[in-house]
Amino acid sequence: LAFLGRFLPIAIATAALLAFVAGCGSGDDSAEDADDRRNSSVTSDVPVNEVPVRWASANARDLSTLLRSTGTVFVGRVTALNGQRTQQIGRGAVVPGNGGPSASFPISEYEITVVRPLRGAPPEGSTLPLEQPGGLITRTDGTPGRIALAGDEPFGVGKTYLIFGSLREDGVLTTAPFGRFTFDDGAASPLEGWAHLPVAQHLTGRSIEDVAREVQDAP
Amino acid sequence: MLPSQTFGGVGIRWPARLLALAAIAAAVAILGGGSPDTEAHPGHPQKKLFLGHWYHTDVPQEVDLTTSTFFFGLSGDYDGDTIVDGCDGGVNQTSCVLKWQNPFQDAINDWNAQPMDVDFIQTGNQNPANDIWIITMDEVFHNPGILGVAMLYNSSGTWCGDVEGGYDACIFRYGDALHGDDSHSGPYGTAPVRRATVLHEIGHLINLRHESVNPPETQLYPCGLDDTGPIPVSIMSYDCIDPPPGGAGLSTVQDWDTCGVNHKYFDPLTAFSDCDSDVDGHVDQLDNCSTVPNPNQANFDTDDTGDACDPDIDGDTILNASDPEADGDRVMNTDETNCGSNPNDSSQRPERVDGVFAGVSDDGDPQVDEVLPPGADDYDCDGDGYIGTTEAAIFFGSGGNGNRDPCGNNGWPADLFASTPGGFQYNTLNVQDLGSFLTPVRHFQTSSGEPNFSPRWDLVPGSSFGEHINVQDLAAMVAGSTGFPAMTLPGRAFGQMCPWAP
Repeated sequence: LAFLGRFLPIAIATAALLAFVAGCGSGDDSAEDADDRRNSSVTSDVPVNEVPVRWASANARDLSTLLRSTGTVFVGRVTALNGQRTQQIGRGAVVPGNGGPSASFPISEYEITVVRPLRGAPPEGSTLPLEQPGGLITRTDGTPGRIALAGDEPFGVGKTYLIFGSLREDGVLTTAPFGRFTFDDGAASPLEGWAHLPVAQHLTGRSIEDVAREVQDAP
Repeated sequence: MLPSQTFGGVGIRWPARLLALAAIAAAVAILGGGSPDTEAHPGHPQKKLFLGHWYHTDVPQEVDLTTSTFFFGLSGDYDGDTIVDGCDGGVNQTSCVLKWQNPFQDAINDWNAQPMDVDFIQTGNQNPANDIWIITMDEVFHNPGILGVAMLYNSSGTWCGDVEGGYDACIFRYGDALHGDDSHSGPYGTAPVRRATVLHEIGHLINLRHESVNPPETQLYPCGLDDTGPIPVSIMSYDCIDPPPGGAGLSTVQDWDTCGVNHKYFDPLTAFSDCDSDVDGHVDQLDNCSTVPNPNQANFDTDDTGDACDPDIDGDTILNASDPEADGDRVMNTDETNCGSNPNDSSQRPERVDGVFAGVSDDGDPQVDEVLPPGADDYDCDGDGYIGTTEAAIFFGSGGNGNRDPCGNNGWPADLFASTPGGFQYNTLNVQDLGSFLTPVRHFQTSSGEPNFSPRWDLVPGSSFGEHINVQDLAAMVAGSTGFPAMTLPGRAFGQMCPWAP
């Protein structure tokens, strides 16, 4: 019993993660709603531990600045959450072996398919690996938790986004919440908390065609 | 005796009883669910900062926080993801160091200049397992959209993100402030912005959350606002520190950041604060007026509120605004104002030179026993009922101090009968003073040039009411030439002893 009591929470957290990963692999339109439900049910039930971050949100002061600071712009659909890796971050990672601690920070690994390339993006139909800091953890008390950067929210598998992102040298796409818009009802919508930024105000409510024209015409 | 343990790179001693207290506090935090302490204002009364869990002390004292050498001279793949970390990814570390060195130092100096009980020091004696580390990397999380992130650890070295309740419930002891070099380009590519990022991330390491947000940080507000309305500007607000034109371009710590924050991480010992909001040398909990500097803590009516904040300083139920003598020092407001003093501070009065008031500054300025300001002769600066010009005439040639001494035969015009200190009726206005008009020398009904005339009894100089010394002078002896002997408020002068030793 003691053994079970010790490892049961870990097992539950692991099962939740596996269920989450398994349930988010479909890119089929018909599975979109179901994926969303699974995604939201997992994430909403798990307590979130936020990590304070200062985002470079002034890059969204105008479209040109945002384009210069990102470089890869497209409309894409998140087709899968493939899992997560951990990145060691902190003093123990910077100077290995110094005795200082570091955090095993979860990085969620998604897959996104290009629906419409707008600038600096691979052709339509291409699939890119997409990383987002944050993910599921097993906390020190054995209960499941989710790490999230303050101001950010997890990608929704099956959802379509306008992405202002950066492609790393290893081919992985990264983006910030101020450079991400949803297209749930056919119109661009900023993430919660970022609607006040000039670019968000400029693009909110625009159709994909409108946004494409804006991006392509921007200096 | 229980053992103590060493904290930090400079060997701060943490007595075991403090550790026990921290353990109790941690238990309370866990049982209480670790809810964040937020939304403290209106009025911003929280007055809370620099109680970071890792430098709590049971008495206010200076505590040193060592900082690491800021790490940007290193490069390498520290996290095994094949991407080079370290400043500028190791491409041009010299340039990177030059970019960040001054902003880092400026940020440390700025925090150290604040009225707080902690200092950041840089020594070669850092403990790699503790302390504050400030690390500049190529990119944080390899994401160019992130300027900086704060990592907090508890006393066991566990990252607070891994504990129940996260940063909001963690009893953190030390932390890392990580900054992305590549992110600081474009609008963020200036030294003030880099400094602001360092200031901001260090702010997280000393208990501050973001400002200009709602508590769950799902909504951002412009600089100077949050979900509760207007707030002061803060280095912890995105919009305040973002570069113009979108942001306010703030790159220095503000007063509110040290004394009045709205959002902070959970602190189990939040009841204890050593914040001195008005920087007058008295911590808020012990300051009888924490919003207005009052280093002397004057409180005439000995209620809970110091004079500087008290709407009725002298406690006579007449509010200061309507009280002609508001602060109870027995000098009328008008006289105090014109004689160089503060009518709303019972510890300040126009300069005096008698008794215990000699040799010190009475009016709050740096000067001692200085002459009264120009124009003061038309006012009763010492509150004895006689204006300066009157006293000058009365004490002419006698060596008295007139308008700077309200007591005794040499300073109080009404105290005509000279007696020795401690003697009968000394420094008291009574029938003997009245009798001195007649005996042993009859001054009454004499005028200048006559044998028994003395300006000392001519309490209303220049009177044309018959002889120079007449019934008008007798009346003035009791009531004062101004008709309002402030020194005996609210009664009359007769029968009273001057309250200030001559």
